[in-house]
Order: sequence, then C-alpha cells, then structure tokens
Amino acid sequence: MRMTQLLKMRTQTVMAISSRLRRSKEKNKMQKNIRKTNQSSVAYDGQQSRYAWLMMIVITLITFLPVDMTWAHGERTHAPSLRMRSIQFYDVTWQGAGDMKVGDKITIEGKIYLPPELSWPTTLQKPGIGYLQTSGPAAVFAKIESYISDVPMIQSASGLTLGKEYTFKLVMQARIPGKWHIHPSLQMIGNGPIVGPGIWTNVTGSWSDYKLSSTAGLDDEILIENLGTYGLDEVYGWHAVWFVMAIIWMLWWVRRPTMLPRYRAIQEGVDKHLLITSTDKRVGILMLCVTLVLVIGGAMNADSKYNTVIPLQTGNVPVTPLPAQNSGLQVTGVTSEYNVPKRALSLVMDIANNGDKPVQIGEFATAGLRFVMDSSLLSETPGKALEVSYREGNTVGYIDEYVRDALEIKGGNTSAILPGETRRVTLVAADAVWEIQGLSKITESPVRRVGGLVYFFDTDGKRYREYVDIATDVAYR
Amino acid sequence: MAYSDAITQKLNMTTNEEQTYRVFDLIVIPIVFVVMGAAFHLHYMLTAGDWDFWVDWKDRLYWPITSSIAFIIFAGAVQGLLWRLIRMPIGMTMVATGLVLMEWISRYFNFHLWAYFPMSQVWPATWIAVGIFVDAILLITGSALMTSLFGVFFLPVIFITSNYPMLAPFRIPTTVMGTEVPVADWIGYVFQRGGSPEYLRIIEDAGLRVLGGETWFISCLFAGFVSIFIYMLWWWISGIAARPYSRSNPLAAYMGGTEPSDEDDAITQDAYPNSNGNQ
Repeated sequence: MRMTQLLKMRTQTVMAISSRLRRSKEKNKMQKNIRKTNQSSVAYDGQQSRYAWLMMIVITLITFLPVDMTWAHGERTHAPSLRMRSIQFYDVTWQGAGDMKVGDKITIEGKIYLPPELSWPTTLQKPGIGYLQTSGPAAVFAKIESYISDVPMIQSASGLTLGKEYTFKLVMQARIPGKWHIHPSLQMIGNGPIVGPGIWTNVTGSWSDYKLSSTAGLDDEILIENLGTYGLDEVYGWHAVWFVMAIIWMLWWVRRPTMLPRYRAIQEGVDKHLLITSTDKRVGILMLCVTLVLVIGGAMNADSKYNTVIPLQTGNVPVTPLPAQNSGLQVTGVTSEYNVPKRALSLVMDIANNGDKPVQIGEFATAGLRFVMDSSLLSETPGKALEVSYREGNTVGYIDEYVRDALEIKGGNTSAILPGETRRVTLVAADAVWEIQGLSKITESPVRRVGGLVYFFDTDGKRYREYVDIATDVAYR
Repeated sequence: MAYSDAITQKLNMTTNEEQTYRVFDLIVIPIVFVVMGAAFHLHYMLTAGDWDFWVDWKDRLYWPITSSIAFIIFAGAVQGLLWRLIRMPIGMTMVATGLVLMEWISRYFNFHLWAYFPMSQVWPATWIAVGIFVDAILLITGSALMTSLFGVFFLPVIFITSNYPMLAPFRIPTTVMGTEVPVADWIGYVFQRGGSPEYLRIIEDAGLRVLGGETWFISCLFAGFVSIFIYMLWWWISGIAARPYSRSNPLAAYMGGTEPSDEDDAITQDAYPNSNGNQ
C-alpha cells in the first residue's frame, strides 16, 4: 500500500516537473518569437537623435540632385557600342509623316543590315528570331501592315542571319492626337529592341474618330465596325451579370451580424446551426445552381453563336535576305579615335579594290546617322548618286537631322580607288550629332569599339556598302 | 438601428452592444473588401499578369493553369480565414469580386486612358462565378477537404467556361495581310506593346507533345489537380494567421499610455480555447 502511494506520488511529481518544464520551454519559445518580431527597441519620448533634423534636410536636398535626362524613347541611352555595332537601319524613308490627322497613314520603308558574325557584339545573342514594330509611346499609332523582305510580319520572323540584309516596310495609322516620335525597331529574341532613326509627327483630331473596321468569320459574315470596341457588349454584359450575382451572395451573408458577433459565437462555442442556418444552405444550393446554369448556358450559347473559332496563332515565319552584293571591295579597319573636344570620329582603314571599276567613298553610316561627303568632291556620276541616296524628292527622304555633311578624308585625297589598288584612308566624321545622339558616351563605355557601313560609288553611280568594326581610342584634347 | 438576431441573442448582447457591432461591420467590411481586393490585385498582376492583361494571351494551355494557381493562393487563404474566424462562406466570392473590380479600375484608367490601349484588348477575365461556386461547395460540405475535391478541382473549368462567352468573339478568324488569324491576334498586332514583341507571348504552340486537340480539357484537368494542393496549403497557412495572440502594446507611450515593462513584453495566446482549429 505504502509502496503504491509512493509510486503514485513520484509519478505525480515527475508529471508536474515535466509539465513545468514544458511550460517553461513554451514561454522561452514565445519570448524568442517576440525578439524575432520586435527587433527595434521602444523609442522613448524625447530620446530621438538631436541630429534628426539634419537628416531630414539632407534627404530633402538629395531630391534636388541632377539626374540624367532620358532621351525620347531611350534610343540615345542605349550603349553606343551596341547601337553602332549591331543592326544598322539604312535608306529609311517616311511617307506621310509630319502634320497628320487621326486616321492618316505613315509608311516607313528601308533596309536592315546585320553585321557579320565576327563583328557581332559578344554581349548580344545571335539574332535568330525577330519582330518588326515601331518604338514610340504605346499604341498611339495602329500598326496596319508590316513586312520583312515582303513577308507579312503578323508573327515573328525566323532565319535572320548575320552578315545579311533585309528590306522592311511598316504602315502605321495615326490613332491618338499628340506629338509623337516614331521609330522603326527590330526586336531580337534574347536581346530586346534596336531602334532605328525616328521622326516627329504631329497628330490632330479626336481619339474617338479612330475606327479600324473589317470582317471576320469563315464567310466574312461578322462585321467588325471598330476593332477597339469590338466584342465589348458581351464583356460588359457578362461582367455585370457576375457582379450582380456576387452582390446578392455577399448581401445575403452580411445582412446578419457579421464580424465580431460571429467571431465571439465561434469562440464561445455557440450552436453552429445559428451561424449557418438551413435557409443559408438552401440559398447556397440555389446560388450554386444558378451559377452553373449561367456558366454552362452562357458557354453553350457562345459556342452556337461563334461556332468557328481558332486558337491563337504563333510560330515563326521564315524570311530570306536580299541577294549578296558583289563589290569586290575589301575593307579592313586599322584604328579609330574619338576626339572629345572636336566631336570627331576618325577611322583608319585599308581598302582593297578587287573589283573592276574605280570607286569613291561617299558616306559612313552608323546608328541611323549618315555622315556624307561633299558631293562636289566626288566625280560627277558618283556625286549625283550620293545626293540621290539621301535627297530623293522633297517629301520622301532621309530626315535632315540624321544626314550630316560632315565626312572628310584626311589629307583630302578623294580620288577614286582604282581596280587592283589598296589604299590606307582616314575618314573623319566631325559633328555635334555625336553628342546629341549620345554616341560620344563611347568614352565611358566598357566596350570601346565602333562599327558602321562605309558606302562606295563606282563610275556608273552604283553604290556598294561594306561593314567596318574597329577598336576606338579616346583623345581628350 | 437596433435589431436582434439569433446569434446576438445567444450571446446575451444588449441592444447597445448590437448597435456598436453593427456600426463596426458597416465601417470595417467595406475597408476589408477594398484592402483585400487591392492586395489580391497586386498579387494576381504579378503572377498571372500578361495572361490577364491581354486578349491575345488568353490561350488554351497556359491561361487556365497560371490563372487558376495564382488565384487559388490568395482566394483559398482568405476563404479559410473567413470560415475559421466568422464561419462565412463568402471569402472567395469577396476577393474575386474585389479583384475583378480593381482590375476594371486598373484596365480603364491605367491601360486604356493612360497607355491608350483599347478596352477590347485589355478587358479582364471574371472570377466571380468561380468564387460563388467554391464558396457554395464549402457551405454545403462544411469541409476544406471536400471543397478542394469537389470545388477547387473544377475551378479552372468554371473559370474558362464562365469567361468563354466573352472570349469567343475574339476567337473567330479574320484575314490580315493574307494570313488567317483570330481577331484577338489581330488586336494584339494592331495595338502594339512597345516592349513586348510577339515572340515573348507564352502561349500554346504546336509542339510534338501537343495535347491532341483537347488542350482546354487537359490544361483545366492539370490546373484543377494542382489547385487542390495549393488550396490545401494556403487553407492551412490561413489557419496560422487565424490564431489569435495578444501582447502589450509597445507604442502605448505614444498614445498617452504607460510604457510596458519587460514582464509585459511577451506574446500570450488568446483566452479563447478553440481559436486555432475547425469547429
């Protein structure tokens, strides 16, 4: 008996100790938690730093620090070595730009040249898939048509090959009134966009005047009066139906005491049938049935109304490049230098004419800019051909701000390079446009290389282009 | 505004208490609705984002999967919270309604008026049918497990089917530059997104593992299966959030009170005994 009592007492003592230990552990755990969640100590009244006001002034002043301005759509802040050494837009023309009304069209046409693989920047992926569009503020223009090498570009292009060139065409329609800068741009998978030269447009009129209409369906039986508002009756109608359903369902529940009484009722173990009554359940079943009827009925109705539907279309469309030119020219870059105070890029290159006609240098083009020679320094036919290349007509042509009469040959030897001759030439392109376009930032670039297209004209006025890619030094005086 | 209800009677509340609680309801419920809607909108835009933004992203394969999983994370947690705390089967409907309302506000003011995209391109999908459906299943079964099996599993099907009447007109074919595409593709082509080329769209394509033409069905099946587990996980997480703890107010001194002592500075579990589980 005594033994049993002793055992019982001992068991009770052990349980009490273990219970106390468990409580103590829980308490420690909770205190640990609180330390984790409340790292900062309480700030006592009047004990904040006496230098707090100084910090406030400093923070305020920081907001006045000068910041770099973002140019247009960011094309001028792209790394110069990438703009000059990746995709080259050239011979770009704009038809219908300038003062426009909502609904007016602008046609942008030109060529895209992809530098050869050896010269392609290592920081960019090789472009296999690309997408042609414009860069500008959102959808202020509607894209009506787009082509690369005459292939419609509603999907992405595949087969873009380094060292090749392609034609492109974009037809854009003014949609939103305003002053917009619009550029052709080629998006490359893995890289992002390279933006071509842009033009300002001044669109007047009213947004509501813009309508793009067409037909749809297998037999064109559905009229799309305005693509921007097409199908919205169904969208608004169904959203309204579901909002009404939601309001009915929620009002049914919040008509009774909602937050604290129900919370207390649960905590105090009130009969659960008071919280959810049999009427609630009946209403729930009714709502479920109505929901299912609306969902299934709506889908069946839509299925019968629009009985021919197709999935979203993706995949790529192959494009083929323009035929390769046969210039017989070999251009090898030797050195180049950007002179900061003179805003001048000089390029030293060896030119070997392995063709059968004399050629003269007429232009150096890079990053959408065209540095052209004084045409009077060229022979008659090449000179005229040079002028035609950027001044054809008055309304169609390259934008003046991108054409700079600023290309010279150091030493003044503009004579033709004869067949079989190899000549070392130093081209100098001096113009403030290097600064304006942000290309002078090559001085700050981790990759100091420049690239571009050198244009030659033969005695028949035929034009050839050769790509050159050279490491660049910087001269500060 | 005096009223009486079986719950308040059972709790022996005075009329004054009833009125106070009702005023509390009227103030707090709209705030909860808006805050939850805004938070859910943020979550949903970051997870299901483009599939909900654009009409030419609402495809048969990824749209049901990404949207359902993104939706059930937040909606499941809120449903669990409201069920545990106040035994109301309206959590999913409430946040679905809040989400869709916030989406409409964002699409109209942000996408349409500010960025000039037409509404036909950026209309949001609805989730309200899904919310009512799953809430009703919870009400009828009274069980999270049963709700996950008989409600959440069908969530993607209800989602796609309830949105189909709005989507169908955008799936009919039209011809653009000699190429036949659905109207949605044409909209995406015409009203271009500067930073989002066509090849970035993550939509169903024609791979060798294509789902035999039954893409809708299989993607909904898969999304429903995954949603069951996500739902149970977040229902469980909401249980942690529903556990009431209290502690001394460390900011009391700023509000005219007294600074709590170190002894007071501890989390204590709330007095209610049944606060962390299902009834």
